[in-house]
Amino acid sequence: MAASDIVLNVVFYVFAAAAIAGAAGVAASRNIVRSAFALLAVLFSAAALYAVMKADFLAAAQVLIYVGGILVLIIFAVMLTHRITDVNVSNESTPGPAAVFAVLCLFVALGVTVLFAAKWPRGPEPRPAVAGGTDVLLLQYQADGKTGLGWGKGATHEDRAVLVVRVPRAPEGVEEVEFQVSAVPGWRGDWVRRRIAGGEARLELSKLPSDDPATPKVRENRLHWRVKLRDREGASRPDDPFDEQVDFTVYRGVTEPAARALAGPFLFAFEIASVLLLAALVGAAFLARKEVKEA
Amino acid sequence: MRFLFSEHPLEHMLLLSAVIFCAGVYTILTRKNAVSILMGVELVLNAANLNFVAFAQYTPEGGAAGNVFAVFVILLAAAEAAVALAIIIGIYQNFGRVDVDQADQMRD
Repeated sequence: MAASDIVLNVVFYVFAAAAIAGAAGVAASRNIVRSAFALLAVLFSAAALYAVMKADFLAAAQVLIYVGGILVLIIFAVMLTHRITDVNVSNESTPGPAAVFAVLCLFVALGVTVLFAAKWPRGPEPRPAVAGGTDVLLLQYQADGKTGLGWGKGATHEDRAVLVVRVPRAPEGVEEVEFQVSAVPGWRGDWVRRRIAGGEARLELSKLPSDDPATPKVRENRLHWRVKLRDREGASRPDDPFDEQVDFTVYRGVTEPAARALAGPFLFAFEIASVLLLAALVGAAFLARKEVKEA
Repeated sequence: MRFLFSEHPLEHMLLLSAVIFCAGVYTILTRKNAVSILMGVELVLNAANLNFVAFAQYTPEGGAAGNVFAVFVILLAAAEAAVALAIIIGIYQNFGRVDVDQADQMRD
């Protein structure tokens, strides 16, 4: 397992445990202030999980709006309205056992759907295939809408891109991987050959001159790349199932596409949301004001 | 190793959000206090947001649309919280309590 995977697992499980503990605290605590602080744990953990899922803008927005705004509002309401320790947990319309039973049924239904009933897109999952009597591990990675399947991994940084193809057990004779990279869909650059070393072949594109049309610009949001497995003479055998050209799409992060979507196709909804917020503000001020009794 | 998060990220996120969603529903069902019910609603909205972002990773463009939807959900949650807390304070001024089963009149 790669070091990045270990870090990812540790971060996810820590914050998932914090989120579940916080949610249980909100649901079970009889002290409403404790419930509010358990909610704080859930909201912070959700922000961290957004960061795990590469939604960095959303993580920041979650901390700013939920933790900084909504939670403070809730705590204000708790302090303004209630005697703190006096929380009546029993609700006559849904007594405790009925609520527990209903929620358990809901959770079992959701879990069965998630785990067994639905067919989800797979993450990086080993998919063994046989080539010349040798198993080759294919790692599926986020691919674009056309192909859906691919193998290899990529990452783009500020001014460089790293494309990695993992071939832990290469077929007989295969020693090289050919990359073909482009920044524009449908347009193809030259094939570049890299040796397989340590079970993977790696291609780095860095500081590309932007005026050279033959080299892809890493400034683009995505790179399309295709790979072929080659033996030493550069020949791909006709029975080699990996001599198949697959498009990869590598994204730089979701903040810029999300910003473009907000300013483009979702502009009207964005403006409507701002009007909604204004209306909610005015309405809240109207509802919460003290009525002035006329003498 | 086969069942770790790095192998099945989507299932892990969906199960986690299912747990948070069920905790929120339980809170909404069992509480009388209106502020507690509002916390349950926030849990449910957060679970929905986690699902949006988890699914968005598998869409083209790296999930811009899912992120935008999650931003709208956060906006709606903020508006909803503001209005709900204003109503709760109004109920408190009229009834002296914030239990939802006692606020059964819309006038003084």
